[in-house]
Amino acid sequence: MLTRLIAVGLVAGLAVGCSDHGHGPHDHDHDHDHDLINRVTLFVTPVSGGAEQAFVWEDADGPGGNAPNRIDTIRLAAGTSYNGRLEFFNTKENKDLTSAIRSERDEHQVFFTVEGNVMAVAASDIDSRNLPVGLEVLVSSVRSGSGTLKIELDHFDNTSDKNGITRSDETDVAVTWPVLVP
Amino acid sequence: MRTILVVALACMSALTLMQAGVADIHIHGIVRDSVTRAPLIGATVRVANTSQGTVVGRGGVFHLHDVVGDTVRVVVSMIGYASKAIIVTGGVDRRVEVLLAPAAILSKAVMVEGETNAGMPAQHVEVLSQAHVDEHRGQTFADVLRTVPGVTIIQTGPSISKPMYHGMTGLRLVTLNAGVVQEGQQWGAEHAPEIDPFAPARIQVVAGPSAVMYGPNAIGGVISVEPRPLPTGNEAHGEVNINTFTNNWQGALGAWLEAGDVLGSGLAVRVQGSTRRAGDAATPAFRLTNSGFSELNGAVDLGLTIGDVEVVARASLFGTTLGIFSGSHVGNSTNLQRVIERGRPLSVTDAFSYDIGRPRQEIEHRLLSIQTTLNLHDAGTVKVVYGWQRNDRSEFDAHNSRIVGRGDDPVERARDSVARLNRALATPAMQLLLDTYSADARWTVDVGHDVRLTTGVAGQHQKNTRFGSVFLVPDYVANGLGGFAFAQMMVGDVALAAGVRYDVRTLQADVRARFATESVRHDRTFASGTASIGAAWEPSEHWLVRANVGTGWRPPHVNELFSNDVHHGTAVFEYGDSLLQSERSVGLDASVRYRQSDVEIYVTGYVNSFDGYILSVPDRNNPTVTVRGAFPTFRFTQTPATIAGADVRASWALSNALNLYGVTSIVRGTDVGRNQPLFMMPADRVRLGTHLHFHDAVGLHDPFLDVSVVAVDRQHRFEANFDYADPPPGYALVDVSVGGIASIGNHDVRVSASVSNLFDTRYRDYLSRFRYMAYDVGRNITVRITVPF
Repeated sequence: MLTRLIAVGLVAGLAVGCSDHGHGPHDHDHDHDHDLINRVTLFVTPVSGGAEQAFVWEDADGPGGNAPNRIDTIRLAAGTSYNGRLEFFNTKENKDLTSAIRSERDEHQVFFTVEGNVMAVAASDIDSRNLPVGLEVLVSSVRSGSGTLKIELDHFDNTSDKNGITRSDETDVAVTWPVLVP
Repeated sequence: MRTILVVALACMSALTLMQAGVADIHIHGIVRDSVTRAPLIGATVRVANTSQGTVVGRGGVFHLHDVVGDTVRVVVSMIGYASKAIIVTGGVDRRVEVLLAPAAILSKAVMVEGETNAGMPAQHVEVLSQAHVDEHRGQTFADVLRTVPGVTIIQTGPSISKPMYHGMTGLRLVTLNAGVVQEGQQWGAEHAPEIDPFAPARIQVVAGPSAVMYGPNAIGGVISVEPRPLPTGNEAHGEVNINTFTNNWQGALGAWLEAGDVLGSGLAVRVQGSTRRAGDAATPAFRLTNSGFSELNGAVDLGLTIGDVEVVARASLFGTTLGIFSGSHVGNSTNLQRVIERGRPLSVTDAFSYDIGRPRQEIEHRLLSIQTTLNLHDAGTVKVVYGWQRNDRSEFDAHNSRIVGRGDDPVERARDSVARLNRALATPAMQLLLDTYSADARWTVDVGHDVRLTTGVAGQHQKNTRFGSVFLVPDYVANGLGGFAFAQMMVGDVALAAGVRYDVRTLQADVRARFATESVRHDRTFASGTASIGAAWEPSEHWLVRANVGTGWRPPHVNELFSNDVHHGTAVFEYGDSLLQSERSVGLDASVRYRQSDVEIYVTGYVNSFDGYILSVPDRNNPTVTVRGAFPTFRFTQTPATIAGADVRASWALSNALNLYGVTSIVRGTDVGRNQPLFMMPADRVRLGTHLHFHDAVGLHDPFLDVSVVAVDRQHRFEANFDYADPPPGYALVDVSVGGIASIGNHDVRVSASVSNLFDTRYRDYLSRFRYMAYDVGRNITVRITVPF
């Protein structure tokens, strides 16, 4: 009996101590607010006019699980310049996250790496300190052949670390497309 | 939590008033071998008819403070020696020298003495006495264990440290807290045991037959954390501990107050509380931004004996918020490689702050343990232990959350995005809520004169609930049931111990993949046996030989079965394997102690051979391609493996005042299946020191000066291309500590100051998870004050 009394007393004491801590059923699964990017699209339109093309990189089931389900080949016409833009998207929530990145453009920069010297890419947008952002780009084909384009979206915890050249330690997006110029 | 502390403080002030007028005495002594005059470190000193006692420390010295009464009987005992009782009278401070005569064989009395320990004489036990524990108050629980031979620490910055014993940690090492097996999220290398470093009076590390009482997972041994025994007489005591640490400007305060026979009810009570607050720690090169922490712990112990029934209950609450060095969080493997080339994160600072931002862990661990012992006299004793634990762990990611507001109107959209951002900031990336209920019952009885038998059953029910966007462990329910028997006996002059156990564990996991709406149910059942036998033989007063051989197992843990996510500290993508089988081990350990006049040498060797050792290894041909880039893929798998090693501890008393000591540990882990060294095995290390100790000097009682050097070799055994960086070079550090007891008023105040890493050496330890991006912490000066009352 006494044992039980002690037990009840202790449990009551603990309950008082933790009353501020609730786990309601609504807490379950917070995946939504951590807006994960799982589709990256490069849109290009010839400077001289013409139809917009879209090249998609998509991992429908997110990190892990199945490999990315769609990686388009970027096909550019020889000797052509394009205006381009990048779109970062969450297909599960059907949410475009590009504008959120743009509003934090002082903390972000997209870096472009071309292998095979088939094309050139340069940022055409700038942040408040006149440093490149890379959501808007100028694209041009350089020579015929095949290669790759890697884009990396870096996030800078300290805005002062961003100088247009230095890479950050926190890459949010790093995807690679094959490139073909006939 | 706050409520408990307020209650604790109120109780303390009330009891302080109650105990006024009771005169306490202090006994200081040295315990020696009557033949060789060698100091007997580890002997037990007890005040008869009370629960007061201590363990003899370095140089054979012990201190008993606040002993109530004018004339007291003190019992000194040690394995291998005849126990001795002495009567102490007169004066407030009394000094005694106790000489113990060696016993030719291990006597029955010694076995009874061993009964209160988790370890028995036949097996390998390392004991950290209260004095030893006191020397490290204010540090993390694992740091307190650091001085035990064979213990190394897996460090995740200054705030998180996890003990490793003989190359085994986490899921292979059981922590026993107030008689209950501690259940947190032990699978994580950056998950420290949730133990208040101020609470334990004594810590034992036990490997061998008695580990069968604590179930599977005790393959590597049991770390037993024991609170102080509750007072039995009509008495009240307390103690206040104050510590400061200069490296991270940590302040720590611990206090406890206990009273026996409260208001004549026979009830004994102790309330205990502690708090620690630290800011950013400093390496010799820069500060570890966001490495501060805050901790608030409280516990209440109650004890009552009515006739043949004794009940001891403990309720404790451990709460901590741990900042994790912001530079340790990297986006992908390319980022980590750049950090390693640079040797530090992109931007570092010397600025100090107490702020704790992201990433961080918030952990609360509640424990309730009720131990009931029924004395059946000739029919032995029955002990029932009930335990309830709730481990609530939230981990907040460093990642900026990209939040898009919803709504048609721009203002509404902006408001919505702010609301969503605030919600995201308050939401952990991973939250795990683990409830564990355990109950076990054991019956101990003497069979004839030379055999003591313990049999019992143990049950456990566990439920884990996952919240958030990290998929390292799923929701699950686990149940366990086991039965065991454990016997100790004397055969001639050899003490034998043997234990057997059989367990069944079931697991129901609801595994949901990222982006999936439905979870998949996995049902697994694991069952196996554990058996162990050990012997101790003392052929002469100089030699003691012990050996154990045993086999153990553990079921695969849920993270090994179902992990499916990136580890952001290590930038690898780790996959569980839901088909893993139980891990089995066969272990052998042997130790020899030689003691001659002022020299003592203790050598332990061990080898554990595993069948189906569970580990995660790289799948080099299949990197995981994600939107963040490609991560090296690691998969949990099983392999035959061995972990073997040796510890040597030696001390040499040059005089009554001067003692030299040395401790070395060597561990070799091998993945036999892949013929490669195991990852994260401690490098070889040795500590050499000198301890100077006087009786009275510079106005202090028992002042001491200790200077030691710890030298750690580089880990030369590693698998090429397994890790991003090869093991760091070896290093040597110098530690100094000085202290004594000052009589201030009626109180014997213990004061000590210590400096670790005296020369602010730049080093990276192989077991430090931040070795890629930062040095380990630099010089740290600690001041400790303990005021008993």
